[in-house]
Amino acid sequence: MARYIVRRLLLLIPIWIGILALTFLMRVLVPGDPVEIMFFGQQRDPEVVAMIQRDLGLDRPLYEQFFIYVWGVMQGDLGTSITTQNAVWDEIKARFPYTFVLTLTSLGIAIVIGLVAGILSAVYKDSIIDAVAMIFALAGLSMPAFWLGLLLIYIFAVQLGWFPVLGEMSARGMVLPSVTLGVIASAVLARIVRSSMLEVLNEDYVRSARAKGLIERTVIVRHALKNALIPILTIIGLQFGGLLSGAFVIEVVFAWHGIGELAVIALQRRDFPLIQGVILVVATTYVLVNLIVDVLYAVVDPRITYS
Amino acid sequence: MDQTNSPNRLLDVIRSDRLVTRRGFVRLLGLGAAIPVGASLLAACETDDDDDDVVVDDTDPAAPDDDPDEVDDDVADDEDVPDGEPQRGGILNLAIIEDPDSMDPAGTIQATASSVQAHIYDRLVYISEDRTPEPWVAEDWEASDDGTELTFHIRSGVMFHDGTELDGDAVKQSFERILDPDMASPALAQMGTLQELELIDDHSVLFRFEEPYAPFYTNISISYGGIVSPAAVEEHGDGFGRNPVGSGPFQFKEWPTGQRIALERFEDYVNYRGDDTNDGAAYVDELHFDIISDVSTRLAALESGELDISDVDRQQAPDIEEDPNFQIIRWEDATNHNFLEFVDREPFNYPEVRRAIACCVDRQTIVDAAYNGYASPNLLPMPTGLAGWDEEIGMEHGYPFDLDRAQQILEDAGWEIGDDGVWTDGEHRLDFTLLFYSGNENIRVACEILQATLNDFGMDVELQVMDFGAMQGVIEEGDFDVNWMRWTWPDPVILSLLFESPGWVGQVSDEELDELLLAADTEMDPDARIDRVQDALRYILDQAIVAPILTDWVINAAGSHVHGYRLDTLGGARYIDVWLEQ
Repeated sequence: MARYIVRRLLLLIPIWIGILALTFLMRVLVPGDPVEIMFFGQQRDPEVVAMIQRDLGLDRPLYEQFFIYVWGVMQGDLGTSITTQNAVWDEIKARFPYTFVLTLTSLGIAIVIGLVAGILSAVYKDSIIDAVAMIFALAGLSMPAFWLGLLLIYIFAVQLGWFPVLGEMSARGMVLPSVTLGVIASAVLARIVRSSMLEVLNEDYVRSARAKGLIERTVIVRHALKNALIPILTIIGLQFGGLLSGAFVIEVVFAWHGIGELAVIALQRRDFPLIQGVILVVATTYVLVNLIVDVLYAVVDPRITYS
Repeated sequence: MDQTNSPNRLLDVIRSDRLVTRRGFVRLLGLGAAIPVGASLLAACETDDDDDDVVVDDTDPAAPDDDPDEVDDDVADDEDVPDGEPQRGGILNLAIIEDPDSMDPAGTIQATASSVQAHIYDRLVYISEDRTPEPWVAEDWEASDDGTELTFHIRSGVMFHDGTELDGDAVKQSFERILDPDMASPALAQMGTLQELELIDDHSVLFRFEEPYAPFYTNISISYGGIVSPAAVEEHGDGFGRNPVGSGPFQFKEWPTGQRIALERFEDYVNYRGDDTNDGAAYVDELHFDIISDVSTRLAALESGELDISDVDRQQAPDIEEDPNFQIIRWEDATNHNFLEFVDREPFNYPEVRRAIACCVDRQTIVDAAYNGYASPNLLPMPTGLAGWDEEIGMEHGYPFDLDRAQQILEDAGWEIGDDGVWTDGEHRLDFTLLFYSGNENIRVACEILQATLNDFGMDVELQVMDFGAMQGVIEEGDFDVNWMRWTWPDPVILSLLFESPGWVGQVSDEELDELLLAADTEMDPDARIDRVQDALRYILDQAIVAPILTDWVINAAGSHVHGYRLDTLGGARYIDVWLEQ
């Protein structure tokens, strides 16, 4: 198992290189120069512009910039933000906890709603409960996150005043953004849980469990759900990535000061070092979470081993 | 958030008389989309703003780039009939659209940064309602006969937040930092032809210019001209931009990265500005600038009471105007400028084509339909709020909406409607792409109206929308036909910024115009300068270098508990008179 984990971690290296290359390529493919944007519509002194470009290393050939950047990243230096003039790592460090906490709470909400809705609709298949749960799932899948966010803001913050509009790192302040993301993510989960459970509920061992007189709850939770967990875990791992990227939009809507909001502003400003830093951190988080999911497979299903 | 603007108070009112209406919700959802991020300050072309925009635009309540003078009835009532003595205390919650880059006047030209640091630093002069410089930290000043030397006399007893005195040496050092090549100050160009400074005595500083530079007063009246504490600069070095010390009504308190900037009242403040009412320390305890990039979120936060003042979108403004819980502050004589730019290529370098297109701009319809009435049609190639703007010149030399005249202009130049219904001169066909940037709903609708009018007239126009950053590259490459551009600038020097050869995007090259612009920029006498500016305006209109369209107003909304809020002549928000009803 340890060897497997180390091997997976080593795989991060080519992933990082790929991300660095792709995000760097963005500089060539995406029109817009950060220094020009900075001075747009302003009087500018050509010498000052040249000096700023020199300071940022933008006057060097692209391949040189790339190697300087990669060399910096290898030493833990993600560069300096063009717009805020702070170290990219400091910007991300200040904001990543916000995004991470939001993602975790959203995931928690998604898991609770998704499991409950999915199990109920599987157990009570073709009943009104099933119909309601699946309509909910369909609605969640169809609804844009920012739209749901604005809806919740309007009802629960502006009209009822139960929660603040502006996200803040407090239990009250986290409710609306977490519920927005959680509800959206729970829709997919509910559908997967349902189909996965339906499959398992028809298995012989479930019939056996019932035949030997176990109470229904035990049958569902210990026998059926446990065996249905593998696809569910996979989806949860994937959803984590979806939540991280969903946070990009939701953070802007709730003025939640995480890396999603940072990335949106960085994109508008063509602040490439910042964009690259955010993508690198998000991608790394995603890979690590999916590694954890893979490890959990072995925990959930003893038949799975890694060597 | 203090008790004054606690959400609960407002929400009580809101709950009592409002239901979740479809209209209200649509208003909230409709907002969105446009986050402009422009780059610049008062100076800039705003990206959008519309509210958002780039804010200094309208986006930022805190930094409206525009001016103020127009206040709506509610506010006027507040001022005419004071409803009580100003009350001290409370936190004024405001929004900015992004984390600023620096709070050092020499270190940034970003609009958002300017909107915050304007309250930390005092300047030598401010621009009054009649658009002339008035004394602020400078008690008075004199210019040499040839206009190349300005001597400012600094008031005695002006103190920085750190307890040191703001004297002539502090002024000299503040401007020398901008001139210092090692500093690579983005604000350097705002200093024009300034060469050096000389300390005449403890409170007198001589500014020496290579040649007269008329926009200097405006430029130093906005954030570039903020006087910094030399002691603090020395203490913090490169970190000064995050530990700003000035002599303004508010001093720096904290700046958690990416979240907010908090300023607190400077108790010993003496206000020398003649356009404010309060000549002492501010009434509110603190200013909180929360970073909220989405305009819908800013409106929701205003409605929930989490913000006290915010920009609002022109679509939402009518609803807010009807709501007794809020007041609308609008600045109609704004320094926003919307116009069509043409590429320097056939057939767009034919004056008749530009003139004909300018005649096809139905400005009033665009104002009514695309801006909900919150804009002024403009026939002149500069914002309506600038010195020198004169509607008569527009009527005489400009191109009011007149399709018959457009037809006449083209026919006189040998164009005719071709078999396909599109104007042609045998060599060219008037089919082109109208480019505009995304994120500004007003501009999008306006371009659609424009497209319909032009197509009806016999042109074949397609619309193309682009992200702002991308569009900038495209127009600077000259890779466009016609584009809708929006600039904000507080001084007539906007003409030089746009049109001095080779033009801001390399599409204008005209020696005769350059001479006119130079004459305007070097004329230090305000009245004579207006004459020179108007000479240039006439020339630009005769050549139809651009097609002016409108000046969009700046619209801010404030809770009804906020008193004394106004925008100054250049659109700078003034919080010194603001007090919160407890």
